[in-house]
Amino acid sequence: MEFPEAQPPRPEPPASGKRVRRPLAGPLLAVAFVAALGWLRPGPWASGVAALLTLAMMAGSGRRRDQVWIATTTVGVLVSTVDYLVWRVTVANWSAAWLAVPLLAAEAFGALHALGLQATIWPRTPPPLRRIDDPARFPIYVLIPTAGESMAVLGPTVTGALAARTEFLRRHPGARVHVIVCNDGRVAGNPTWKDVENSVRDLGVSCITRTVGGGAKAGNIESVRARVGATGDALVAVFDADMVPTADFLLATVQPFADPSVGWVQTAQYYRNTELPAARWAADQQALFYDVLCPGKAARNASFICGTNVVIRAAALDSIGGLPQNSVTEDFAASIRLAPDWRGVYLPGRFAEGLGPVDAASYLKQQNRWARGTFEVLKTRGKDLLDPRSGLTGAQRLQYGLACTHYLSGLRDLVYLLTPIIFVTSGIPAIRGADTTGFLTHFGPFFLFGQTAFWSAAKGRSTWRGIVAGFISFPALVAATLTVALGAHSSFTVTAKQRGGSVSWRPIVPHLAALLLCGYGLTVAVLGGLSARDLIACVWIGYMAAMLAVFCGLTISDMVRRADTGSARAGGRQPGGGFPVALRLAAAGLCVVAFALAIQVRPRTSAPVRLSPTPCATGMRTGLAVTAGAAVGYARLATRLRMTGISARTVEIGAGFPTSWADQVRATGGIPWLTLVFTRDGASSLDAALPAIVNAVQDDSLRRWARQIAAWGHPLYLTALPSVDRNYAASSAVANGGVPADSARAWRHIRRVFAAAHADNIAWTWQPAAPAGDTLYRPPAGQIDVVAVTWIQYPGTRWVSPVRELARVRSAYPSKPLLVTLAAAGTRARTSAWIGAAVRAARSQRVLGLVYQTDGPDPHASRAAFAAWRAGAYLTAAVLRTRENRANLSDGAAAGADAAGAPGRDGCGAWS
Amino acid sequence: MSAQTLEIPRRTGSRDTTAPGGTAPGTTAPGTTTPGTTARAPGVGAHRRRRRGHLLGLPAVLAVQVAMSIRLSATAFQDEALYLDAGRQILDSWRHGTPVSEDFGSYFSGSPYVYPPLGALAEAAGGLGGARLLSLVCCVLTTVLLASVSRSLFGPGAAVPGAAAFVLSGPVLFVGHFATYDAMALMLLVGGLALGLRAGRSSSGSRAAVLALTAGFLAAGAVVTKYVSALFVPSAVLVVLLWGCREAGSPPAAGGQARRRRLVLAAGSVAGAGLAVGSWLALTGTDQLEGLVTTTLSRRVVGPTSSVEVACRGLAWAAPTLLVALLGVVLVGRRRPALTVLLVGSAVLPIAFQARSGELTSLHKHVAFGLVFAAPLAGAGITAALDRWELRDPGRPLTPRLLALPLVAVLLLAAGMRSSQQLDDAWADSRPLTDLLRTQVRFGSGHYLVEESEVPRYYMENLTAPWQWSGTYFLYYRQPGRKLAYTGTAAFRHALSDQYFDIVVLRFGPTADLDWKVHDILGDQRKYRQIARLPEPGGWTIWRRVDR
Repeated sequence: MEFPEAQPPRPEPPASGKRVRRPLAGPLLAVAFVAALGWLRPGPWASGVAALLTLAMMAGSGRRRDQVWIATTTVGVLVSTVDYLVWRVTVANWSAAWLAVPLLAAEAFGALHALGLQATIWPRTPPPLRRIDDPARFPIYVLIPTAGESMAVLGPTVTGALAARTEFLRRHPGARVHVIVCNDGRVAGNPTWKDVENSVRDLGVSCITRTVGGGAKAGNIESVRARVGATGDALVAVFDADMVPTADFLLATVQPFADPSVGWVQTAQYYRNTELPAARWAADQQALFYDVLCPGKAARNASFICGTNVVIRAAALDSIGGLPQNSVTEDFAASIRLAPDWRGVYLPGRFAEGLGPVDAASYLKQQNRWARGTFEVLKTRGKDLLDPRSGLTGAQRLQYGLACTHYLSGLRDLVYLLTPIIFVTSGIPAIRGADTTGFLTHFGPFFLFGQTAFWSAAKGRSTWRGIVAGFISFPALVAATLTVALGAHSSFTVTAKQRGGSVSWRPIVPHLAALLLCGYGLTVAVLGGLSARDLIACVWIGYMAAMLAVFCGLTISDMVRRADTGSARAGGRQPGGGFPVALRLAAAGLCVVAFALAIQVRPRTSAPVRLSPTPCATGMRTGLAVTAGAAVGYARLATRLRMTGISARTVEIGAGFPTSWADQVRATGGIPWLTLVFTRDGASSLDAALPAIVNAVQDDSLRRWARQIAAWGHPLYLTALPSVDRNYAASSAVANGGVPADSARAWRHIRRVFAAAHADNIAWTWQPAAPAGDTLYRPPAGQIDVVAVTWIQYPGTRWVSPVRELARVRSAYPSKPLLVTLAAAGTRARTSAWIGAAVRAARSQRVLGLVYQTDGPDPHASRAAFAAWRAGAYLTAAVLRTRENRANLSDGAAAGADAAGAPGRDGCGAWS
Repeated sequence: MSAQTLEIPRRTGSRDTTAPGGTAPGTTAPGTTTPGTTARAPGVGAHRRRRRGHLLGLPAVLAVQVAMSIRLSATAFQDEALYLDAGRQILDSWRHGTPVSEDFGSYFSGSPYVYPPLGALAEAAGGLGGARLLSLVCCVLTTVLLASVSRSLFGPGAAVPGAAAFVLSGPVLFVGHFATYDAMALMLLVGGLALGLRAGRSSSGSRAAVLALTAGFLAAGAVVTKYVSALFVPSAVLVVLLWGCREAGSPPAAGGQARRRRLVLAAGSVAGAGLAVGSWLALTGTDQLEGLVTTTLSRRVVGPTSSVEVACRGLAWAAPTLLVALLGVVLVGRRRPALTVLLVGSAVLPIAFQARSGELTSLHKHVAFGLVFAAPLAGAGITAALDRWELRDPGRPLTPRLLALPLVAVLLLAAGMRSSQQLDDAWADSRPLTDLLRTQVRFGSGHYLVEESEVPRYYMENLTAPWQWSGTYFLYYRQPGRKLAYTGTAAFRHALSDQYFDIVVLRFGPTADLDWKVHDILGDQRKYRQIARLPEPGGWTIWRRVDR
């Protein structure tokens, strides 16, 4: 076939009006609004309100629904973005700038691109094309560069190109259309290049094989262009080796060249091998670009040459010295150089179909190549985007700027991945000074509007696969960023069009590592107990882990299928088959989380043991009591003194139930006796007053105590409102605003709260300072399980007679079991005698237990005073060990052990 | 070859090749045009879409109003607590015959038998939030009715913008979540205005009469609900009359028919008003007229303020709506001068009225009443501006300039929101006080003297009885064992000297004079002991009686 003589370059056409300068008022006004919003900081509500007001305004204007929708979402995205970013700057954790700044930058990048999307898809009608020339008279060269693809791939493309030529010639008989295969197989070292040449010629198509390489695909095309004279008014259609044009391709794409300002006509890329998972996902991602972005960019004369399925006016290429050969994305580089003088047209519709990446490896390789090319263009042509003399319009600068920086999304996604994991594992936050509500109220509108706008634009064009495919590209994109940033050499690599037999894990190693990191982060967070902030971080980690898991699952299943296809057992059922690997991975992840949660959950105790203390029949329990400080030393002392039948302790309402202490008491055969006071850190407050208790001021704390005691589930004595009849008590019925009638009300109220929590394992122990004379303060008899008598005998005072005193109490409470707390500080003889009398009195009245107050009544007393009080404990033990008492004591201890070990048995202090 | 538009037959594959953001199938694609689409796009269906849009637009405005109002969440204001407590007592008196503790009618600025029981019912159902929800419902209905008024006065296009302009201002948002008379009175007033305008437009005489009767009833109901509404009724009547004249000037209703129409309207509305007022007086007696006189007709100014300050405050509160209304003055004023003057005058009437008397009390609430008249004008202004800039023409491209309008609205709303928040914050959070008093009070015994006692009394309704509370505005005290009775400062001094009160709470606020006059008794350690002083902005000091 002969080629026509090369024609002289056609003079450059006049600019088609696209360079008319727009007034700066609009952008300035927009900046002013954004600044005003940032300055006023109306709050997160503003985005929703702005969107609603836009909806209100637009809805009544008679515009179409899509216009109303895009205006509404754009306003929402704009206002929520400004609000969120301004808020984020104020709450960034500048003390951990190494973490906060990258996250802030990543979010700002994402936000700017979200706004860029809105700017791209905002409806804009391009100026109509003019019909000045007859494009059918221009020579057309259909170039199909190949670098080693087999005829199985190339053949259909050549056939499709011939069909397109035939159809065009049928409509335009005088037209000149040449189909040429640009064979680079020889310079690429492909041994089959000759076979390709022969086969192509057998199809009746020219094949030009380069003997000297260079410039990769662009060099191949330029070489052939020069060889055949495809310059001047010629039109050059380019197809990748796998892209099969439709029969009407030339009919549709050549026509716009009637307008002399049109430099190229681009059509979309669709994949015909979407039965392959990788190709299907890549197709979904491609759709976002071709179906959503390209029309918008073209409306602003900022469309791209995408390297294939495109017709380019040779004169346009001539005007920039041909396709740039120093870039792996020569098409994009050419677009930016052509944009100031030529118009690009984008034709939506399916005019060619090709082969998508066959597997994950080739998909990632393709993404890496595109990212490298784009970054190289940014590096070499980036200044044109800012240079006012470059001839680019504002819209072109914006659109090409967005395109050039798009692949920084890899870094963004890496930051999104690592930041929450670092937070949950190290506790270092990227945000400080904001509570969860604050975060959600600012992030929520930002996220929702962004997602709504995106999905409304992508509706019917892409699916969630596109999102996953975009996210999982991050290793390839980060690698590309580093390659270009470090100035490393990068070469043009052809995306594989056919599946090889090898199966490699290598492409997904970064994803598996990231997935492991996510799992580790989730496990650490769950095991550490989830706060609200952790929960947010976990949701985010989980979201990314899900995307990674889906991708890894897809890839692994693909590998398994390939290996299986290659094996002799083809068609056999896989072990565990029937469920996609993605599902299996997700299930495994869920199991890990469930396991972590399960070991965090404290085993529930059985229902609390109901108790009903009865008067001591065979003996009485004895023990020690401690008012303040740690109980550990006293526990040891109690063991040494063999006074472990009962152990008393005072606790404040703000503290928690001392489970380990109670367990320890129980383990030694004793029963805990807690005295609950309403002080905080030893200090009384208005909240401790009886009216406060009656008026439910302490209910939250009481409920917590009730739940904890019920959860513990074993019998115990509980005293509330100790010494309520004295003015020194924090909760006093004679001071601090309390009156005697308040005592019974407060007691009733406390019991009601505990009853509501089913804390039935409590023996409610009423312990006024003077139980024999407490008529004014006493709750109804049915509300008291045990009455406690307290004898604290100070040196230099007149000591009570235990026998008489206990008899008075018994007459006041004839049917109630009694507990006795005693302490004395005096001479050894006097103390010993008095304790002996007290023990005898207690035994004679068959009290449930006798407890010595080891540390005396004053927690701030001197060491000498403490020692004096403590001496009483030894004397009490000595008295109890006398022959007369020993038998009873042993009976009591045995009963106690039985009671602790087997609640419900009859005996001293037994529970039922 | 002559230059002409190129037409390319587009081809669609299995995918939808719609150009995003506005190029629906069959319409212009980037770089191409499709035959037939140019003529079709702007006209067909636009009218139908506009009508549908009006239905969507108003809910959007109402959603904004609701969202902005419910953000305000202060603890109960003194007025709210007082009215709701009064409502409870009145309901109890109706249900159980229990006497009310006070003669509320003698000092309430509206009938205690209209809003307070309704508010108390709502409060019983949902607490303070329920009562405020009732106000919000009233305010939302006001906005809906205002859209109707705007439509009647300036055409359908002004309805949604008018409603939107109304909700921009802080006082409107504030009143929308404030459990007092105001929202209900506002709704009744605007309801009367809207029905009056509809009566004038009605083609049927009997229907017009019924509408006029209802309008009169609602307007009078507004006055009964809150007496100050009477200030705006003449404006509403004048608006109806002016609009009636305009309608009467049109061919279908000329001459004697117009006169008859006016007569019917006047008679109907007067009858309606008479019915409302008559019902009110018949049901509740004439005692509450005393309240009408003392709180409204011959009101004594509390804490006089300079006229300039009052005017500045009022204008600042009304600014977002008034600024938009200015657009209406400029763009519509020349065509409708009388109506414009009337609406602007009515809008600033409460500000002028209170500036003249130097009264700042309740100005923010009254500003909301004035804005009822500014909003339709603002709506007309927005519509005129949109038309002038051809932004409402569906046949024209969707320009980014359109976004300026909602963004400006957001900025104005931000200003309104800020002022509503300031109004909301003007009342100190009473939680610290009620939390503290909760540790001290007991049901059925003890007396508590609290400055602005209405709020703790309201919050501790279940913990105390109403008679246990006394405020610092008034006290009647009879010494035990003696026949001497005191009022005024003497009553407070004697009561404190006798340790009559168990708890005393002062904040040296509205009754600071009295507080200082009794302060020496509280300083007597034998009688009272200071148990707490709460930080500003509350600044309450609490004393407890020393046990004898």
